[in-house]
Amino acid sequence: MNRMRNAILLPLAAWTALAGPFESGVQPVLTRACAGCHNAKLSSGGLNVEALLTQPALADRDRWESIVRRVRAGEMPPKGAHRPQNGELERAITWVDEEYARRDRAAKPDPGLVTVRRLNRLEYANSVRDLLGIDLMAGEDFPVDPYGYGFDNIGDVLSVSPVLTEKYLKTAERIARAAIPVDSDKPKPAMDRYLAERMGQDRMLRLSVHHVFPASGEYVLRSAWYQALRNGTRVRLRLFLDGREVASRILSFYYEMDRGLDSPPLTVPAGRHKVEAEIEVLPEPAYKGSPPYLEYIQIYGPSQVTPAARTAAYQRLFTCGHAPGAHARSCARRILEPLARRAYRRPPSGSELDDLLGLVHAAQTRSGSLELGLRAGLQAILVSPNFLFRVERDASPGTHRITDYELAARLSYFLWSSLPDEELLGLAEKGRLGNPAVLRGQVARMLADPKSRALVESFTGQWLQTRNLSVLTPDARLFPEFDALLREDMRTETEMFFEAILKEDRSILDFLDARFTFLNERLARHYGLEGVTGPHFRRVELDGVQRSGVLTHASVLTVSSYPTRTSPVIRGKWVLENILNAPPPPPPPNVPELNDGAVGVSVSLRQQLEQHRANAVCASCHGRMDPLGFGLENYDAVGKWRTMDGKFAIDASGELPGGKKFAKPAELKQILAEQKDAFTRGLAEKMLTYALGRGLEARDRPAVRRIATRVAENGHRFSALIRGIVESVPFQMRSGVSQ
Amino acid sequence: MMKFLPRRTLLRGMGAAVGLPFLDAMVPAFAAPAAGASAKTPCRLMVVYAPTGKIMQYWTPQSTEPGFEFPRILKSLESHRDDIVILSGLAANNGRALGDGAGDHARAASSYLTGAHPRKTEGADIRCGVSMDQLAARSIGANTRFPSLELTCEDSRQAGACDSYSCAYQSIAWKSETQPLAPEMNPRAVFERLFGDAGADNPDRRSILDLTLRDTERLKNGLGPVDRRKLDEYLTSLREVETRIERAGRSAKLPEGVESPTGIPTSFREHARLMFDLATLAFQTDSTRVITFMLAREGGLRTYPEAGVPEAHHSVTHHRNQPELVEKVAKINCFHVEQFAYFVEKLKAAKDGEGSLLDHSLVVYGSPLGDPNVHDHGNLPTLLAGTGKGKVKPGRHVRYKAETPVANLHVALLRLAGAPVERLGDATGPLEQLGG
Repeated sequence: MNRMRNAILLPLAAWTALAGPFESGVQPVLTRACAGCHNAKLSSGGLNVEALLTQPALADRDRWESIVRRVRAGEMPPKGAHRPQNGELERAITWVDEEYARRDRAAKPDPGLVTVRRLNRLEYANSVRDLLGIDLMAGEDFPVDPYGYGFDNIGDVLSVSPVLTEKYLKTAERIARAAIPVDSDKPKPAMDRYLAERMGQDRMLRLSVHHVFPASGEYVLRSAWYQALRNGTRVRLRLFLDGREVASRILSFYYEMDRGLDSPPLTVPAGRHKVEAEIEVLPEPAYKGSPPYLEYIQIYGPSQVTPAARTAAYQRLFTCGHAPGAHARSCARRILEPLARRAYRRPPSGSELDDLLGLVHAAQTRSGSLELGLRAGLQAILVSPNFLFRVERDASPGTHRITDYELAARLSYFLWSSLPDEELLGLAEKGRLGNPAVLRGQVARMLADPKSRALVESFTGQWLQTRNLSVLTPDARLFPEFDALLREDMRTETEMFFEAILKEDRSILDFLDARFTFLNERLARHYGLEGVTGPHFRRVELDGVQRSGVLTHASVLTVSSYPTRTSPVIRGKWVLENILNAPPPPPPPNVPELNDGAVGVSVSLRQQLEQHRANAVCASCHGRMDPLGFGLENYDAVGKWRTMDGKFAIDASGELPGGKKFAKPAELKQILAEQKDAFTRGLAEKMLTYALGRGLEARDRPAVRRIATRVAENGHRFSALIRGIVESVPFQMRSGVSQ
Repeated sequence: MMKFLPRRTLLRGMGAAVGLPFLDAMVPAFAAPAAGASAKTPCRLMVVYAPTGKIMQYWTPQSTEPGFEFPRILKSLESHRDDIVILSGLAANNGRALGDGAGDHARAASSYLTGAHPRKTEGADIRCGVSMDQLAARSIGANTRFPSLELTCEDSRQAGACDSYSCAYQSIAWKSETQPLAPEMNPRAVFERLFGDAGADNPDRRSILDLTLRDTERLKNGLGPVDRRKLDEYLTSLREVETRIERAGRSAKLPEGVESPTGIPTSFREHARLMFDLATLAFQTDSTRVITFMLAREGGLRTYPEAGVPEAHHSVTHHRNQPELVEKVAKINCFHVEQFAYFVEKLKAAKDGEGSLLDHSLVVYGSPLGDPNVHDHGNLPTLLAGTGKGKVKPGRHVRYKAETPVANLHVALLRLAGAPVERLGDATGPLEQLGG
């Protein structure tokens, strides 16, 4: 990772004042201990300590912090080299660290620069949902948002292409039709069929789809199964809409029989709903063949369209109380103004509102209907740059607080990935959001709101990279148990776990070593645990079990593996990046990355990697990565516990640089759990990146340090992390750009 | 996901469409032809990008004499010998580190069609160069509904960094130095873009666009330069869409019997062929003349169980000359070329004016790395199919001087396609000997 590369250059006066301790306690010590290899001639590992020591004291912060970290971890000086025994090196390092802490405390607030942020797909979908009160899964077909700094909400990276612009326009039309139904639309009934095979839910006893119902009206759901069961076999087929059973039938099988189940006509409001089907072979009479499986879910409708004025969407929007066709002219303004205010996350200006109303009136005149006029207005709002981009304006050129409206938007996109609700906008309007007590209350309220689910899913999936589950395909021959449902179960475990830490305001150190998790029968069986039955997830205590914390979640273990085998290197790198906040540098150019995907059957993976580490260049990084991965070797490439790998017994022992040893995963985790400060800082950096939508730089270090300190002082509570971020300088302030 | 229609339906439909006179009959309906191309038969330009290198000893023919033997990876193209030229010895110097350290794959992708050296960043200040397809789009694409299409079978859904660079550098198409174009992966979305309603039936579309353009201009005032650039991207895109709507009246009718594909096939073979079908359709209907198609991501982790490789592509490419890994890479290489051979066949069968679509196209098939094991940015596997209306002499294997920039090929192709440019990345001039 290349962030924080810029050095902080202090004015001359500041560093000459430090000359004393630096010159007496750091320069000579590091010259003795390090410059033997890290000099101008050898520059081992790309580091020249001699040069560093002749610069203004501590000018190159990146390098200095790396020195502090590596000396503290015992990685340097390396084994076999001379290590001063009198504690002078430790004292020098401590001085350096404390000096940076002191500078951070004294630093002038510097919030950095945030680029205007285009809404990403998730933010767009949620914003539309919360703007109109209908979930249309809008934006699902938008191009995938690019990642920067590990996240997909980075303003600098998010761009707009013609393809996306076309989709904005088309999607706005679709949304306007669904949100403002008119009786003259007469939507034609259509049949949508979701094939199990196409959804990656092949050969399942349960199917599940999210379907966007295009208009409010009556629909019929249907599902059917494959498999010629033996005569007389009884099955139960059930259909669910939004978790509620809407049809159920017990059938005795005969060859000519209809193999499907239709629901009665159901009145369904427009928008996204979850449709599920389930088949169960009843125990009597016994059936021994291969199990049946569901073939598809089909949705037909709308056959009876709900009159526009009776739909929830219409009633929500048309607040002036007239019947369709009988609206007063003033209605348009009454409807449009609050809509634009929510969408733009601030009150629209007079001319913005006039423009919108002009459009509405023109369309109304043309079509003879206010509803159709408002559809045009709504479309214009949805493609307005004021909606699609989060723009912040600089009230003054220097460093300044952002406005309350801007703060409301930053809060809501951080915690909800959506636009601010009425309560936030109301507080912003009254200028009260800047009040610390009010802000704290709002953060607590927002975290408790179900909308904070967005933070759980989006942040967890990206921080722990469990999002990649959806694109990984473990080799089906080696891991036949891995299928779409297990993939979902894995993700669910990690999300529910994160959510528990958020909702119960637990210590973030639980991520490393919590003695509980969330499992259903399938995943429990995958883990070799008894006593968990049924498809629903529940909290399970993990005493005496070989699992604790996210490192032993199947999701994390799978995303850090190859499709055919585990990779101690990838897992080690994963731990360094996500747990120890010490990402290894990328491999040197044109040296092929270590490939452990090709382990022969004659030597174990471990032996191969150890040979590779005999090379000193490789060893400097792999000496850190590989042992961490070895400690997790008891978990296979889909996270199952094992004691053998092929014909080799698993050896999960290891020694970290600095001499810390472990014999099994639990001991490794113990060692990791002691790295509280590194973990806390790493998590603070990642979450701050996510909250700001930009990469961090050297100037953000004081803020990160302050957040991490605060978290530590508050028992590592999750809420302290969120509050620390929300109250930080970069979250609440902007550096004005000269115009 | 929508109702299921198998790919067969589309193919069957196309089979019926190909050879029917409707395509020719349609041509006069189009507007003035682009400069340098005759109205009847425009020249099409396409790049098919096969990522992450090749096993070069199975790619490069031994001889440059006529009747040279087709090596293993190219075997499936042998029956098209007289429609292709194999170009050996080209290099992408700007894909090399040049002091930037790790990230060969990210650089390989972004430098391939731009000839430029990408700026190393994880996010702030992305910068590379304008790619050759986008230069073509500006001129020969100016009169079609879509200046260009960008297709892929694998998008960057992968969380995390992309090879030490921002994932934006996974794109090969760059509209400007700062604007990479993300390719579309869903065949259905491509189809709807090509043949769905362009919005001409929305009576308010025009006024909504006008208002939005005004709003965006207004919003730009008082913002810093980076913010303005972001809003400018939106402005440019809006204007492009506006132009397209104006041209909607001239839009292509869908050939009869062709139906929309459904979502994304799980089989790579099916997916790639469906994309090739769509590319053929787009050319046939003159919806566009410029296409880039990435078979997969550079340095990607896709597995190819269909080709007998359940391992991730990138991990087997660091083969260290171990025979079993080399074999796996070779299998993937062959598999990719087989899909391309299907496309060549398809273009050849599609009647276009006096000849076939293939006759009137320039289609590059190539990879931005030679031997992937060492991230070789020289000696790139490259071939050209189609003669661009008889301008290229096919049936040859040409060996160029080492380190000849691949950008020279781009410059030559742009010239042949009727979109000459002065400069492109590190090109030193148009590649010689294409005409024989």
